[in-house]
Amino acid sequence: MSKNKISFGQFAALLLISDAFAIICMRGRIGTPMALGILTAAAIQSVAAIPAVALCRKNFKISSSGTLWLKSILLAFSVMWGGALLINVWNTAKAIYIPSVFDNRIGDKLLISLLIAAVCLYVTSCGLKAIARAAVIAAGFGVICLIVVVVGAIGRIEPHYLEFTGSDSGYLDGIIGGFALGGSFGAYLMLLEKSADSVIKTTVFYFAGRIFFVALISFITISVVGAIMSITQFPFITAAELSQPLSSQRLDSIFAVVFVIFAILSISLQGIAISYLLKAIFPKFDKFRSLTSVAAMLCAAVILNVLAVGTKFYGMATALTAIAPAILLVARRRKNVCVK
Amino acid sequence: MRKIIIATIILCSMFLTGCGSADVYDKLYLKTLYITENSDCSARMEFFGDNSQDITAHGSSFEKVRENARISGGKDVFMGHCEVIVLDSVKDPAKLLTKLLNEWRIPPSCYVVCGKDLTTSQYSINVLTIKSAVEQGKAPECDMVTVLGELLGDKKSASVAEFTADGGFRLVTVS
Amino acid sequence: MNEFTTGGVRCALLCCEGMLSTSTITELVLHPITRINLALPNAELLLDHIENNLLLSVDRPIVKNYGELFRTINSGFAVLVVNGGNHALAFGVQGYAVRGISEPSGEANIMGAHEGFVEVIRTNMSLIRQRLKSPMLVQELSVIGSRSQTDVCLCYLRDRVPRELLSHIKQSLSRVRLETVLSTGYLRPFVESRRFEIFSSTGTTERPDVLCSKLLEGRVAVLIDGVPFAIVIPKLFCESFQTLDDYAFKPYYAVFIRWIKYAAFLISILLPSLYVAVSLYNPELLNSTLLMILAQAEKEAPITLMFEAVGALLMYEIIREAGLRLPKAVGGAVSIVGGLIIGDAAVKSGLVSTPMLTMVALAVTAGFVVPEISQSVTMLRLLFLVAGGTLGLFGISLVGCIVLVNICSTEDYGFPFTAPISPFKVGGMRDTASREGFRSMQDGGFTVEEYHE
Repeated sequence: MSKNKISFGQFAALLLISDAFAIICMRGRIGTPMALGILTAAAIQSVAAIPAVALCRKNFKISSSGTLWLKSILLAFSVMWGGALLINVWNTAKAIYIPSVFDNRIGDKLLISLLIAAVCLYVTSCGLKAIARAAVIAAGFGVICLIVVVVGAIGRIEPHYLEFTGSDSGYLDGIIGGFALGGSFGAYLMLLEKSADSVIKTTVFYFAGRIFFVALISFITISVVGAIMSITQFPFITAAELSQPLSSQRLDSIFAVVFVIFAILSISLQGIAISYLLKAIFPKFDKFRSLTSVAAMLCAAVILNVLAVGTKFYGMATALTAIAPAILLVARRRKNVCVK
Repeated sequence: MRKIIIATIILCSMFLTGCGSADVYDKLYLKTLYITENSDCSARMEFFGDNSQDITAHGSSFEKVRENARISGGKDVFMGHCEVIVLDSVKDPAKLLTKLLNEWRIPPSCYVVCGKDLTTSQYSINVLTIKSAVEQGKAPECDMVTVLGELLGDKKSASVAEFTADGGFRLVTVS
Repeated sequence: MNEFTTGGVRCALLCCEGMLSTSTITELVLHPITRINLALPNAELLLDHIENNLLLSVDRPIVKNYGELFRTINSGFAVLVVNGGNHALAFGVQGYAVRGISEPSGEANIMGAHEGFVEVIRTNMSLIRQRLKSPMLVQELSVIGSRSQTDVCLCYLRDRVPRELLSHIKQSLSRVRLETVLSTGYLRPFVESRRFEIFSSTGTTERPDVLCSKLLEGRVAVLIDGVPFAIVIPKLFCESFQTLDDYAFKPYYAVFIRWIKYAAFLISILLPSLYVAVSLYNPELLNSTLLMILAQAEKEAPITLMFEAVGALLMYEIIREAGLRLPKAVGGAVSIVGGLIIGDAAVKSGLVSTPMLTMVALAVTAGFVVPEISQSVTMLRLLFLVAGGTLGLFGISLVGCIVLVNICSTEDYGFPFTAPISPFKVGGMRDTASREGFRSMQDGGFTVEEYHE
């Protein structure tokens, strides 16, 4: 394997962790129509990846061959998505036991942001290979957590909550929500050129894994949390809390530790994508790229939080980014036809 | 650069030592909560460990009740191990249980039963009694999630066991 | 210096008293060399005759300058200097006192050999040769250290070692500008990456059998004269949990012990921090019975949980260090003082609670299971404890992430430290997650080059 290339397993682990983190932080109720909507969005994104795969097979690299507008869009998107992930951490802080160390005298959000930013800065500076390898190990722990949740959920599943009811709406909301949860698509586009294995294999493995994960976790959440879905703030986190395999001992601590590691790796992934794009746009920008990317994500988080940007915004942004490869492919084909 | 960041984090953490945390013995661990909601609210709290620590508190709302319990007991009341919640004349059980689950972090496996005049009496409900009753089929499943689910569902009511001060129990419907 | 005439030529035999064997030099060198008769007394003829017609010793380097002269004399050679000659001859007749081959102190073993390396590099080289009689085994001697002129030997199997790895290591060693090399710690930073690594990416071993198994996997070993340890390059993280006994036991037992070691490693670094974090910030994660036991026990301790834990760990480190440095005769006193007085009395007086001492003892004992990485484990244990005590599980997660990424970024000469776990190699799992039997491993032909990126 040549320098700075990652295998398809590492690639998939990295992106799936980012997706898993975004999905777990999802707020609000989820029903079967919404879950189907999220799955549909994932399927649409996998179709949107086809032009990107086609471009990559023709040795098109965003970092070297991409136009300035494409790099700028991806850069802005990555910064926005990194900020969104930070906001997710703030929102879930109480749910995942981040303690209030200053008794609310100094903002918890400030402290959490600084700590996570510092760790992400270190992780980003270690490079893509290090984070890819770490992602495989973290994904392994994530799979263990998932198995624990599935085993714990077996006795609590009530399939009747999966049925469609007249009051359920949300298929379209689910599609928008699904796009809003698919922010790692930007990193996918950026990192596809770093794949050491076949891009088709890499893409299929990643999207298949994502669809499977979303389907499984949606099924468990709806069937376990269904009764109290209306009062649940974070349905997926509640599902994990309710799915304890042992009656005498809770296992939330495993979930909490893995969750934070997922958060850091997800944010760092965006940091790496931003670093690469900064280098691509400003070739002389060598030093302090990691610091710049982390600072940019922090600023984006503050701005997005103040503006109280909702799911629709993220959904539209991801959807627009998803069509960028298709536009580029068509433009290149037209250019080749004109040249001929 | 990295060394500076890491050293800064470690140094800062030394100053945060123990901030915002109470030691293990600095808390009262709630075992059973008896709640009454009439014109105002009152609660009797039984704790793990020493029975003499049991507290009865009153207030205009449940937040006030908890605050007053903290003042009476001299320590923070920790609710993460609560085993039984006894509803003794509560106006809106669904709202109360939602608050208890989401804000007060009562565990989802906590049992919810009804009680008659238990908040003011000294009668103590044993969680093993409820477990046996459920296992033997004499009482319905009455963990927090099940009861709350039924209250929030279509029927807006839940069937639970009701205990009285003389030790008897029967099935009632709360809504 | 012994001056004499032989073959009509004035000569001198230079040697260092106490460093050579008197009987050997008398029989093998002095007797034959003083009986030389040459038709034409001439320095060149005399040197030529001794070099080519007399076999006075096995090791006969030629000395061309004063630097080599002093180095050979200080290495126990006897050097013959001839009046009018342009070079000198050295004879390997070393006889200085050396420690005998004994069981290695740091790498105990039940089913394997009980031989360990010694301080003499040539003896160590012979220990390897005895076990690997392959003509592909290469042992290249060189000298490092401007003042100490320490012999260093690079060992590898020519048909197994990756060419690039070998050339990079040679380049790294050629850049060493030390005055002296007195332990492996002097050379290891030069053959490791410059990045900060929590766990060292080069290994050491005191056992020739272990070293041979590493050489068979295509690794390079560096032996240092005066040091009974060999440096092994590259090293993988999972090797810290492998011992030679694993390959002597039945596979099912070896797998069981290996997983015990993995669990012990995690217990060693995480148990005190998890205990403190959960007790202080997330007591709902403990079951109520355990929680009440802890609360009751901690009630009498005058200091906070975290300082109790830090104090207990630091006290253990002090006792351990004292036990290591004390003369053996007094060493027993440390056990009594440490165990009975400090441990028992501290608990009875209420300074430290029994559960805390139990957690610390468990963590420390678990750390003994993987002695090779004990330094890193000790520091990580403290770091996790501080993180858990200040920020609870969140702090543990942050530090855990840093450690995970640091381990994953550790890479020397293109060999990832976390292989074969990440990058994941299915084939590598047969000796990592499990220990397959030799019938299935015999056709492997595994070399470390499979993990190269």
